[in-house]
Amino acid sequence: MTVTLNNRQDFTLENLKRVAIDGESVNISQSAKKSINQARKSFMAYLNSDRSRFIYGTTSGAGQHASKRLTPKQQKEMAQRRNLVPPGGGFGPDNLPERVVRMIIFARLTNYIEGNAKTRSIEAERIAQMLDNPTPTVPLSGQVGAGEILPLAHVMSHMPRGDTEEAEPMARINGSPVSTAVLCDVALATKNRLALAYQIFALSIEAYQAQLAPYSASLLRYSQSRHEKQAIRSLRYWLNKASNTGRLPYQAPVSWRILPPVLAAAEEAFSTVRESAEISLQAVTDNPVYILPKGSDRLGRVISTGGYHNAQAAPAIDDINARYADLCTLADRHTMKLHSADHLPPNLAAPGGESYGTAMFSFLQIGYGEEARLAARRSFLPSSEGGGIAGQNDVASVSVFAYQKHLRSAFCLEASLTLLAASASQALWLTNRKPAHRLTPLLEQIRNLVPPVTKRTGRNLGNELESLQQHFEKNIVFNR
Amino acid sequence: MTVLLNEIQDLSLSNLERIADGHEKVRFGGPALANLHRAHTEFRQFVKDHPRQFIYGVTSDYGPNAKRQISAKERKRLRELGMPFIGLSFGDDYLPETKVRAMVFAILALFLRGGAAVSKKFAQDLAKALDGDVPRIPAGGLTSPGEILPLFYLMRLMPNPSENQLQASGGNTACCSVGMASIAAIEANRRLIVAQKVFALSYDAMQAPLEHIDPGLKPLWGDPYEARAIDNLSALLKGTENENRRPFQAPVSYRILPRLLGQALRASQRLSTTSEESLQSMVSNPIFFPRGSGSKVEAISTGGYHNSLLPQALDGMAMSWVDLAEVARRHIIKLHKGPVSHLPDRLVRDGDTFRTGRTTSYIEFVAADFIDEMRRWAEPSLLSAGEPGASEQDDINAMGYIACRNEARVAVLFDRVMALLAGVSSHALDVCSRAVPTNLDEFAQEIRRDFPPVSKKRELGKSAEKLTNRLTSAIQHGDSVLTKYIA
Repeated sequence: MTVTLNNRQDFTLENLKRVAIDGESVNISQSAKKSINQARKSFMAYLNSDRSRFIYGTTSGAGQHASKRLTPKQQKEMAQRRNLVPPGGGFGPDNLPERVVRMIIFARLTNYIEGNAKTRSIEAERIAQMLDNPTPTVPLSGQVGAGEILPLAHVMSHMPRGDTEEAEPMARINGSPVSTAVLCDVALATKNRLALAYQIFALSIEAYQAQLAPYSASLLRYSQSRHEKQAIRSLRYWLNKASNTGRLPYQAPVSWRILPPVLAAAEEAFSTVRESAEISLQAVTDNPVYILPKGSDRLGRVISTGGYHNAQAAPAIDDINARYADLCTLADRHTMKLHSADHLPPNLAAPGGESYGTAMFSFLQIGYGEEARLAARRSFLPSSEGGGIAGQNDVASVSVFAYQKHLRSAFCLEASLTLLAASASQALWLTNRKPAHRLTPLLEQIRNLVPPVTKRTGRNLGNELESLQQHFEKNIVFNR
Repeated sequence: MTVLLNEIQDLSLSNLERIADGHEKVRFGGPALANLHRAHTEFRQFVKDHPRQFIYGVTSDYGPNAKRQISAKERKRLRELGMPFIGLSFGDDYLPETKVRAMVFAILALFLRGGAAVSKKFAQDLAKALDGDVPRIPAGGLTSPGEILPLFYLMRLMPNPSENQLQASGGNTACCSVGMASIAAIEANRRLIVAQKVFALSYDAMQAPLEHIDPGLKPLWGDPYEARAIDNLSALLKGTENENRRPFQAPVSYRILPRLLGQALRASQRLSTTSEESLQSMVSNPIFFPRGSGSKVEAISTGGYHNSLLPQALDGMAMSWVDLAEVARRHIIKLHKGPVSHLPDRLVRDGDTFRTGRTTSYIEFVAADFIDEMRRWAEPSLLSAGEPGASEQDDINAMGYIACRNEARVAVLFDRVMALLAGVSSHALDVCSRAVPTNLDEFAQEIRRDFPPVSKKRELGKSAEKLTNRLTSAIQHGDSVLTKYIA
């Protein structure tokens, strides 16, 4: 299948998923090509009407040379000479996931699709063609600089060869499609990761035999926060028809009772990251940007902007990372309590098995929680003015840095949930109980990869737990 | 004036401010008192009808003894004992009175909806207690599961527990974080007005091209908050000279202003919305749902004393203060750097040198200290990994107070950075003999009262300190041209 792009409205999360995760191609529609070429024509008329006017990277030099004006001859020569983006300079042990690089290429097209990038349509077609070629490699490290030139160089250096004219080279590497891509990836995965968290925490409620009162429908009617309501609704969905018999006759520890507010904060962070992703996908962020002719304004105008700096991305991703760390903390506490509750077998040990049972799961939680907390540190604007030579590029964008931490944070949450899932499964098995019916498929998946533990002899629990985490990860990333 | 509480809409940030900062009286209105009475009566009947049902602190003992059921007789005996603790916290200074009053308002908000099932008299007595002094609460050692540590102090305002009639809760709710965050939300809104004015002054001092805030960007970026930032900056710079500005684009730190201010406006709106929604959703443990308020009549245990949305909103606000301060530092430096700004190098006057002291030069160093501290306070308020209590029950701290405390500290440091940028920008305009844009004129005059342009050597730190104090005071109390809304 192919995604056809007509205008900015086609830059949706759904279309992005089709391209980035399902591997579909992109087609620039005839009407879009017409719009792009019309815009190019009016831009050239604007340029030719006064070639001494400041148009960053077209009539002037770029970066620290922004103050330098070029003659018309120099303008043409520079555009022709820069028909290839040089490869990027970042390096390091890890790379952006391939799907995210495809998201960058897809998001790159937003500036072009209605002509705001002031290029010919062939440029948009070349970019779309990149989605049918091998995906470029983009190192995760070394991508923090003003705008997004650093990561874009790694991507756009793989653009199919072809001639370039005035304004086209700058359009390839300006704007903020990388921030858009990482926002979209976090938004898509968080939706599924939160869905998993709800299930596993619901399983933990069942395993601990906690009272169901903290998730009462009365709170749904009472709360004024849609995020709290969503959290309660989701927990209630998984606890549907849960039996009330045999539960603790008194309230469970705080860590069970505060599931709704903690998950509400995660819902709110998710809502913010999704909204930012949707806004960013349709945003034209080029610098300079071409504002199309309108009414009596026959030629339109080109203006310098800070569009290349997406200020929403890092804070939104940071919030997700922080909430993942909080969920790790709750998972840690639940795992510990399941192994030490008065009303459950000590250490969740099987009769006849080792007395320490699965207590190791509780030990393991500490490390993942600590890593998650480290990954939740803020991505502030850097104090360094590196690259700000001559005072121009004096503030760096930190979206990729926030995303780099997110990948770690996401793994830690999956690992932490894996340990809680295995503990809850063990508690239910030892007490010969079944969870609420909607949790049965999850419990089967858990037991398929980490069967209940009677004796540890002959079992490599580390491998089993890892296979469960990988199973969760696969479903989170690729489950549509 | 007296604020009357009758319905949920009365639980607003503006009413909270009238009571907390304006020291107005608060009373429950007739309809509210009728509802309170009904909820209280229904609750007493409910307990009578369900003597074996677990209702935390009513049919059970408290905290570590929560699993122990108690009889009506035992309940009476425990009530007569009163609260076992008078106050446990210490360290640092005391919380500002405004914030303590805001916490009490948050408890009244809980009462209003009937969930605490307190008697009319109990609710009225607490409201009347705000006519007088409120307890002093130490600002250190206040974090615990729920918010019982500050509550121990607030309970001094409540009627003698031994006289209380049966009720679900006297205030075991997130009153501390909701009250304090509401004040933070009100202040953040004003702080951002000041910040936009200061940045507009800097923008004009730099003679940054107006195209960076061109309204044509609004539909291209498609973000309502960035659009508002563009509108605000455009309004503040209205009428400024469009000729003779920089002939090429300004440094990144100027061009990205609308996007950063947009993000700060988003954070501020989020904090306001979350605070007001929290105020209107106060849940205690336990909570009673009288007829018509829940899905059925019930008394349940909850985690209502734990608010996770507010720390997130406060942390987001703190992050914006840090990022804006970082950009402000760039502005302060750039304004002093002649080759970049195209203004007199180091902002000296004609024929002068910075050695005469008739310039703001070297003050650019000062911001670094504040920003470094801001970065440390603005790390997120994560759930702490440690178990705080000596019981299986109380195993996670609520982070609301820590988030409020940290944001407040970051905000005051931010005011210092704003004072520096305001003083330097005003001086830069003066050095170049340029008029302040009309819509910023009143603001600049206020700035210059405390931090006049430098024409002779003086202790600039004192000027910056005076201006900071005035900015902070204007932000806290509102009634100043400094915080006047941007039209």
